This record gives sequence, structure tokens and C-alpha cells, in this order.
Amino acid sequence: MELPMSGVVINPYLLILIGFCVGVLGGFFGVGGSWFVTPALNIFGFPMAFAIGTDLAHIMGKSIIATFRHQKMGNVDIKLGLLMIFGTVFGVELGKEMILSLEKTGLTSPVVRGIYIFVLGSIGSYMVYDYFRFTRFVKPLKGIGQEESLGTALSRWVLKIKIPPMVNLRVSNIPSISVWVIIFIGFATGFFAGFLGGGAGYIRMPALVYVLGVPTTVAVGTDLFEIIFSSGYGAFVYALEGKVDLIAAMIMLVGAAVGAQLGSIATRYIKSMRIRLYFGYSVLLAGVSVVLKQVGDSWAIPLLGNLAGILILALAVYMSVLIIFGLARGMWEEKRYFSHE
Amino acid sequence: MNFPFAWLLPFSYNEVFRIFSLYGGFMLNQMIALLNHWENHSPFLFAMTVIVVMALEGLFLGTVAGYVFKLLGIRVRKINR
Repeated sequence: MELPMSGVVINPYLLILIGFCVGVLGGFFGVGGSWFVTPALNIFGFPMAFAIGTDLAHIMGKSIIATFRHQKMGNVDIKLGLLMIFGTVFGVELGKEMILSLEKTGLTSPVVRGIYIFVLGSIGSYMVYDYFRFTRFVKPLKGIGQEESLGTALSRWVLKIKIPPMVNLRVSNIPSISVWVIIFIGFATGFFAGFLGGGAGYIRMPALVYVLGVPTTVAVGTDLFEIIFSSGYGAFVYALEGKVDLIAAMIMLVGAAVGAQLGSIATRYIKSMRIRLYFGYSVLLAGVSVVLKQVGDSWAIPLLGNLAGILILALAVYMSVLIIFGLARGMWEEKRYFSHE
Repeated sequence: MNFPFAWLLPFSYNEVFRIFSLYGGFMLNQMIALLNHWENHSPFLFAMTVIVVMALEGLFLGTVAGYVFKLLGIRVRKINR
């Protein structure tokens, strides 16, 4: 099928499959998934600008679907999301300005990739470490299900900051928190979004969990709520330049509609700590693919660049299968439990 | 390809398909031509169309998929915190 707007020839079923996989990952992790879709579309023949623009447009539609589903499960803290947007807007602008000034030095690509690798590596390693720390030491002592109420030392310290005005985040189980702290978190994650590109859901979700102490599922839902606005703004900007293939985005959204629902529902059946573990592994492997890409570019080895793309695709498909398997197992166990009662 | 309910129709499946392709294809072509025109001549209108179409499609498909899931017995309950 030839897409009438970008002129790219692609199998529509492949677009639906890409949409489905990113829908599952997005609904489950609360991320946009630009780290997966943009290279995938690029590999399948989309020019880079079209790949980013089309991806952002479809992420917006997918986030609406996933947010509605999470909202029904009580996982979206709208007050928190709206407050964070204030900070995010300024953060994105600052990140963009820094990129523009960095471009004058001609070092944008290696610097951005270096920071990207550091950020992904740090977040991924900490989340994987946190999972094993919890399952080996905390869980045997405190019992199952305590992980959300424990929070982190950082989140407990953050909650002690009493700079008015203070707000009560009922959905996030936070009785009182300074508005400035929320705006600052939005600013910091927005900065990374502007500086590194994409929606930065891979930073926002862990930031909500580890810095603010928000329960994992609420962090996922609230992050998706924010992504509607950030990706919508991005899609609008790219569309102004004519770099969105609306037909491709519409086809991808068909797969994402099913995937996002499955991913969102899976958060009910897969334990919070396991969501963090899967997220940690995904972020770590995404970091490895950026390393491969950087080494391939530095030493002029195109094979490594292709390998990075294939690694990302394989990771997305594997994680989607793992999440759907977890969902199916959880539903089967629940059915068996109720049939025994 | 056989249309399973062809016997219900006063005309053959090929005719149905032809009518759909003719009018459906015509409408689709017109829509794409309009989008291409906006893309080149009115970027703001094109950008607004992208946002509105994505939002409406998201809401529509989300509702349909949610309904299908409900029919399949996949229930979503609110989590009490």
C-alpha cells in the first residue's frame, strides 16, 4: 500500500502491528513509546521527520484511549497531571533552547546520546536494583503489597517540604505536598523531553514513583494523561511543517486501540514491582541500543546502527508478548479463584 | 471471496463491492486530496485536522474496543485505595 501523504510503500498490517505493540507498552508502562516507533518507522522507509511527526500524532490518539481506560480503574490523578503541565511547558522550552545553543558547537548528537545513555542506564539500573532489593530483603520482612506504602527515602524527604501552597492528592495517596515540588518535577522531566526529544515518559513515570512516592499504577495513568498534551503539541508542530502522515497514524491507531486497552488492563493483574522490573529492563535495553547506534556512527559501522534498530523492535515485541501473557495468566487465576469460592 | 449474506441482497456481491469501492474510494480520494491541499496551502488547518482526527479516532476506537472487551467478559473494576 502506498501512503498518499508521505509516498512511503508499506504493508498496512505491519503498521497495525507496530501500533498494537506500542499500545500494549504505552498502556502498561505509561510511556508514549517514541523510542520504539520512530526507529521502527524509519527502518520501514519513513523519512526521519515523517517518522517523528506520524509517531507523535498516533501517540496522542493512543494516550487518549489508554488514559480513559486508566481513568476507569482510578489510576489518573488529574490534579497532579495538570499541575505538572505548568512545569513541563517551561522545562521543554529550556531544553529546546539548550539544544539550539548546543547546535552551534556541532556536538549535539554525541552530547545528547551521551546524556541519553546516562539517563536510561541510571533509571534502568536503579529500577532493576530496586526490584531485587524489594523481593530479597523488604518483602520477606514486611509482607506482600507494602511496596507502595513504603515509598523511598527521597519521596519521604520531598513530602517534608512545606512551601505553601500545599495540595492534597487523594488519588495518589499523598495527603499534603507543596505545589512547587510538583511543578519542579514537571519542569525537570519537561527539560529532558525538550533536550532529549520524545515525551520523556521514561523519566516522568519513575520520577513520579521514586521522587513523589506516587503508586506505580497511578504514575502510569497520570503520565499517560500528560502525554496527551505533550504529544498533541508535538504533533501539531510537526503537522504545521507537513511532516505527519495522517493515514499512517490512523492505521496505527487501529492496532494501538486494542493494545492500549490490553496494556492498561494488564496493570491490574501484574504486580507493581514487576511493572517496575519490566520497565527497568526495557529502559536498560533501549540504552544499549543507543550505545550501539553511537558506536556504529562514531566508527562508521552501519551494521551496528541496524542492529540497534532490530534490538529495539525485538525488545518491544518481546515485552508486549510478556505483558499479554501476564494479563492472560492473571485473568485465568482470578477466574479460577472466583470459581473456587 | 464470498459474501456470506449475499442471498439477502437484491443484487450480487460484486455489485455491492463495486458500489462501495466507487463511492468509498471517491470519498477517500477527495478526503486525501483535501488534506494534501491543506498540507500545502493551509498548514494550520492541516495541523488542526490532524489533532481533531486523532482525538476523535482515539475516542471512537477506545469506546468500541472497550465495548468489545466488555462483551468478551474482560471487566475493569475501580481499584480502592
